[in-house]
Amino acid sequence: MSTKNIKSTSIHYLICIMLAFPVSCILSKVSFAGESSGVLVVSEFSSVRKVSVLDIRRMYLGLPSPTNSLIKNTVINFSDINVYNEFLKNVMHMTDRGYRRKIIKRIFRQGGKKVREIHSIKELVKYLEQNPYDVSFMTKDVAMKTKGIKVVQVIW
Amino acid sequence: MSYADISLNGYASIVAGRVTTGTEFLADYPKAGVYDNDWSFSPDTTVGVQLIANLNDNLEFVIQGISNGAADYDVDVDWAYINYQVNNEFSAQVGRKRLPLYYYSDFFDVGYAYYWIRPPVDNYTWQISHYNGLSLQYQPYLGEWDILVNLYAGREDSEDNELLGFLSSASIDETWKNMAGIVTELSKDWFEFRATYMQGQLDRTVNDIVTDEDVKQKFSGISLNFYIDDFLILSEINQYIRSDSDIHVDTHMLSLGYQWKLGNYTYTPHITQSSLQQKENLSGGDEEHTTNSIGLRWDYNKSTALKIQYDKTKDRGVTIPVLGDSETLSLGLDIVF
Repeated sequence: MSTKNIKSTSIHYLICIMLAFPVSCILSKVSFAGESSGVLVVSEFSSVRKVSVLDIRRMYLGLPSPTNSLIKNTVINFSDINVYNEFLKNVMHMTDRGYRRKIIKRIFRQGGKKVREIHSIKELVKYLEQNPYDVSFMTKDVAMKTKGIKVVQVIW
Repeated sequence: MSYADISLNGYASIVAGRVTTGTEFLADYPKAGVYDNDWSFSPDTTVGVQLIANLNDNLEFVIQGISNGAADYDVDVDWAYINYQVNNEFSAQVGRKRLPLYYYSDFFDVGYAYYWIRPPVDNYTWQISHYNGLSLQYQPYLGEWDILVNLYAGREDSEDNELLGFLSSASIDETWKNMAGIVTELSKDWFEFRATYMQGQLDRTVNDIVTDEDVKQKFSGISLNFYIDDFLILSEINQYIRSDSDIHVDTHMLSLGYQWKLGNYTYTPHITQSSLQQKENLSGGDEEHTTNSIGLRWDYNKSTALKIQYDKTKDRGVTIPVLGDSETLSLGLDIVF
């Protein structure tokens, strides 16, 4: 292969890489546009305050909540398995197996409450209404359409 | 009058087993649970209930009662302590807790929490499983990593100790005193590291005659666990030294598992080797045994698991044999509630 050919091939590769980068960025934006962000929700009458996402992660692992947050318990929203998986990926940074392993270990090593699981939005709203210091998560889209709850903060 | 906020957790393991080759198998060292050639539920069957009463925002009382077949189903107090949450990261406990020597020591009886019928037997061979004293826990923020540092100090007096009595056919009272230890854990979704160290002193009385007093002892250990996709690699290596009695014991465990999801169920086949080796000393101490295990866990639902396990034990001790070679089949049902 001549020096000229090598140069030409290298330039082609460089152009491809330069084109591929913005295209992949646009594509990734397009795919994100279809997804909704996740939010921490409480009863509309709750006075729970915003906390860091790291604190939310710790609370879902059974560790204590920051006292100034007024949060008492965390609740898993199991109404949509995809939302639960997004929550695990973006907030807990672990798989369902890893999360369950940690929770069981936490309860039977250090003592601790189980994290309540609720399987429908209707039940979740009812539960939060009765427990104004408890929090859960859902997508922003669903939160906007659901009556009786309010968004505390975006968590992913 | 105000009432404390109370929560309840529990677990149960119903296990049946029998020795298929050989005569006896010591399945639960601390409680001296032994299988023989007849099917038996006693050695591993356990029920435990944990009650937590929140006395106020920072204070809770925790008690866990346990009933083991190996202890004739008598109810024993496994935990009984007051927990004070100093802040988000620090907590202090005063009372009775399990002695956190090995990786599975804290939840040794909670079968649902691991894939075996019981934690690998050659590692979990100690006669003292609890302590009464003080424990400090520090769980700082470290991003996606979870860290735990546990400092503890205390003592345990065991009258007519089950394991020592079983092995020697004598009435033995044992005290572990001036215990001070540290456990550190670093974990992530796919990785766990644990290091442990404890030192203390031992007193022993055999048939009302004092045989040991203020004997220094040290325990150290490391565990590494990996959870990579569907594969599990679990390991543990520990060392126990009682220099004044010329006792030096090494234990290890290595286990491999694979989590196979099929429909709504998860199946986990696994293989394990565990061993204990005591360095020969002047009094002829030569305890040495290895157990190879193969088993399957079937997660029936989120709180129920069914298990089957086959254990093959090779007992090489001459002066200190435990119960000889054996092959044992066990079937179990574990639940948490």
